[in-house]
Amino acid sequence: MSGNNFSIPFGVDESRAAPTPAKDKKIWAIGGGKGGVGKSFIISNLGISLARSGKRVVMVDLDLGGANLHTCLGSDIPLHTLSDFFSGRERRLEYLLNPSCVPNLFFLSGANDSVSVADMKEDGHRQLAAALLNLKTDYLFLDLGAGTHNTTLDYYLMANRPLIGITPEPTSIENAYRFIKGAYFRWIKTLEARMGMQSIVEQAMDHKNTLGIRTPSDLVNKLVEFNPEKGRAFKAEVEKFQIYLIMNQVRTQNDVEVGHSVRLVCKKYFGIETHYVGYLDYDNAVWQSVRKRRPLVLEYPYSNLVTEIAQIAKTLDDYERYPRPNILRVA
Amino acid sequence: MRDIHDQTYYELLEIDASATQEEILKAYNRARATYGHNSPALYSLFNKEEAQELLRLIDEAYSVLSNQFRRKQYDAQSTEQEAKTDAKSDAKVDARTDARHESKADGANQVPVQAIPSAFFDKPEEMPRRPAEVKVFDEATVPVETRPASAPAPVDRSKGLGTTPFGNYKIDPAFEDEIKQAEDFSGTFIQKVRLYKNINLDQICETTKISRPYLIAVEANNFTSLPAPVFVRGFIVQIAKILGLDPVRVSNSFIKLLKEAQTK
Repeated sequence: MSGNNFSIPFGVDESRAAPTPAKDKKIWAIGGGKGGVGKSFIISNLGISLARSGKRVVMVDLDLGGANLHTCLGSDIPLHTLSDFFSGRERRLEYLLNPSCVPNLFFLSGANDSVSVADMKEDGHRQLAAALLNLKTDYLFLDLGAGTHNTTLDYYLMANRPLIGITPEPTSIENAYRFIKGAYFRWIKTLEARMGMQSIVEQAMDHKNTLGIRTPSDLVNKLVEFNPEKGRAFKAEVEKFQIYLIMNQVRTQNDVEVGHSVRLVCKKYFGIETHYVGYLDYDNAVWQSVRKRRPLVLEYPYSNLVTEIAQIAKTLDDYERYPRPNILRVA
Repeated sequence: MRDIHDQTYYELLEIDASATQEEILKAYNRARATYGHNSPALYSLFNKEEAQELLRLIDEAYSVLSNQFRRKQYDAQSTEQEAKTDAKSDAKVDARTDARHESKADGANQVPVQAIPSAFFDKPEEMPRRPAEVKVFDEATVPVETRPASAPAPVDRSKGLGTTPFGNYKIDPAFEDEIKQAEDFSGTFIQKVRLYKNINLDQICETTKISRPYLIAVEANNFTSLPAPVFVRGFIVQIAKILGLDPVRVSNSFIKLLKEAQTK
């Protein structure tokens, strides 16, 4: 997280950025901190929904070392994986795309990679990020692993729609906050470096107790007071960080309301805009479809859950009418 | 997002300045659920004290915005304040003021909570301005409850323990007699019974969904802050049930007091 050895996130290293990025591509990434909340399940079914409406979707399994997006998509262990990219055997991602059971939907898999892939050096990730930005597709979906590793956060910040998958359990909510905090500070660090604000931020943090800085939003407000001109520009950039919340495994109306509460708390604590784009009911159809290794959308097309997924896909896609750059703005 | 004490009532409830009464009520209920007792969404970010402070401000915001007359006055005051700051900022650029301008799009061109004269909180014709620290309802009349809302322990009547939906309390025979013989159930007496039974306002609030400002007004016998008697009767019946009192007797007595106060 922010306290670790900081290096510039790979997305903003312009010398390495792709020369002709596919600018119009929409990048959605799903994170959430905790494992088992249904990140791969959500994003794979959102992908299938969009692909069936005729959009070209490429999904990338970035949970290196724990990849199972292909299983959620109902595919066998693919022949081509990200190992081929990292090892240099094939640098063109187009050649590593695996078809899925749905036309228009392709995926890049991390499955069956050598154990060392999970510990890949930052350089390899930087190259992958640049290649992904260069990939021609309508939608690029990034399925992230659990945890708040810098690499995971950087992929997350590549998205123009960063999604958060949570369940109404305290463990999931706590890890989601930890994840948002991690991504938010990573973003602030990036901005500091980009806008030459390190010294001011450090000054503020040195006196955080006397200045009454308790939350990230307090910090940003103090910066505006310290240096109105730079501070306001900084604040405007910070506010570009917005997240899209999906509540999974909902059993009661109260569980649905927890999503609204998380949205309000994020606004009060981080000062960031959170969009609660929808919730998914707890449904036995999910584990049944997972055991059959068939995507839910295809296995139970008339279930309530599929309607909810389609609704979330539509809500998110409606946001695309008002395009926003990806957070790191490399593309 | 500014410090919670600098936020306007609209910002506190996360609503637009043009929000309808229905939206205000919805936002208020949502905010209460978010920062209320045992809310899972607070976990690991806000501690209990911070959540309580937020709840207090949210109640304050709701008590003003839910009353159309007070809201109008608040809006007018905000516009006035805004004009003043505009004039000042011509001479000196103030970062904070500017930050508020930026958030205008959110309907946030209102004065911060601290800057609002408390005249809004009382009948304007009776009350000239008071210092800004004065609260919506006089919270001094609300005793601080130290008892944590823990799960009820097993009841042992032989040790003189009574039980409520929220836990136990020590039976005081003298006070039990006083309750039995009581004829006037004023807010003060209701409060006394509540404290005797170790029940806090938040617990009643969450169970009955009666807003905290109304509960405070009931206990403070602040009849002017209460809605029409038909609603108050419903409130009292609910409160009496929780406190283990006879709902009919208590509500009749309280409504009688309310009507007496209104005819005075």
